[in-house]
Amino acid sequence: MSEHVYEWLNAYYDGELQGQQLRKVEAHLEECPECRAELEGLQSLSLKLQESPLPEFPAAERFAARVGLQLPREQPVSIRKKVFEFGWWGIPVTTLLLLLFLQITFILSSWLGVADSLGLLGEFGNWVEPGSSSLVVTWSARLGLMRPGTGIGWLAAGEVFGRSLLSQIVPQLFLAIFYLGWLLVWWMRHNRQAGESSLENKVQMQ
Amino acid sequence: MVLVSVSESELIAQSQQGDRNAFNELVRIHHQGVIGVVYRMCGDAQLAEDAAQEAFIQAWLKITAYQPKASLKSWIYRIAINAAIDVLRHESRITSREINDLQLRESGPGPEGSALNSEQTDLIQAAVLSLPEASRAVLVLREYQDLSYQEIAAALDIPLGTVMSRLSYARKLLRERLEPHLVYAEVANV
Repeated sequence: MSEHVYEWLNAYYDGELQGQQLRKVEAHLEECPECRAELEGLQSLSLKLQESPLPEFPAAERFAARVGLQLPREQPVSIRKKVFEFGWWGIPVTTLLLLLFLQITFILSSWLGVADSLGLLGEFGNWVEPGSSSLVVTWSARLGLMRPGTGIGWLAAGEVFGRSLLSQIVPQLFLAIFYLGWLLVWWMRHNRQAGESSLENKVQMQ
Repeated sequence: MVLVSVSESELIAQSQQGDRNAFNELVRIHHQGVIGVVYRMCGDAQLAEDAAQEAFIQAWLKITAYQPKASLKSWIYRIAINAAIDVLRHESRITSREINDLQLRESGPGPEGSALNSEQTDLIQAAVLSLPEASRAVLVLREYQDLSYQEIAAALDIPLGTVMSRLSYARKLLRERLEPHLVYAEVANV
């Protein structure tokens, strides 16, 4: 006779055994009265446990109504949703901060360039702004101060102006379009939510 | 009024959006099972009702974190078992009283007839209550809620092997404690 299968009897009784293990236990039970008695003991215990009835509890409707009254008023918010909301409102804030940063940087650069062209910065100007001449040109070009015969031709001025356009206006334009796009999405979400809540109110009123 | 049948997954999704009516429907669906679990865990009808209510309130607060990896039933039963254990810890007098009753009854048989059955029921309930919480939870989910080992493992967040060992331990203890009384009762019924 094979070894006793006590450790597998619970799983066998609960129908959790499969394949080879199941066949092994079944084969052993056919030839082992001790394991059969153990299995009967499990069956008897389960029957006794099932005989113990539940007391009277409130009906499902009444119980659900009572739970409903005790539910907190606020809507549960998931961490994922919180992160999304944080990110969602972070977009315009970051965009505006970037715009502000770019504006301040460009204004400061221009002032430094002007100060350098007026010789106010002295040696310090070369240290702070190694490419200050191009900044002067940029500033001058923007103000229309570039004159023919000053040593920098119109062509060079145009090129510098183009570079200035690319480096200053394009990023700002991109950020502005991005911000407007966000505003558009916000407006659409806002309208949809307003529509849903008014529909809910109508349904409740009906 | 048009009645629309909504699946459980839809009810869950709506509840996660804050829909109290959808959650109310989930409460109705799982009310019986949760009450059964908490009653078998704490053995007192009033405490069970309180624990069941607390379990559903906790479920509402955590519903947005629920992910359909495990069944909602397993998930709610886990909350219910924790709620029952919490209630029991606040009301420790209940278990000690029941266990004392069990010890008293061990000294001899009670009245005959239907009173004997009632006493048997109390005896079984007290024996279940005397089990360690961890083993009791596994036994309750298996014997009274008919959950598979896999579902129990998911509900209690324990390995399958632990489910098997706790269940085996719980049944062994119960048989040791109940066998003399049950054998007597069978003889008395004959």
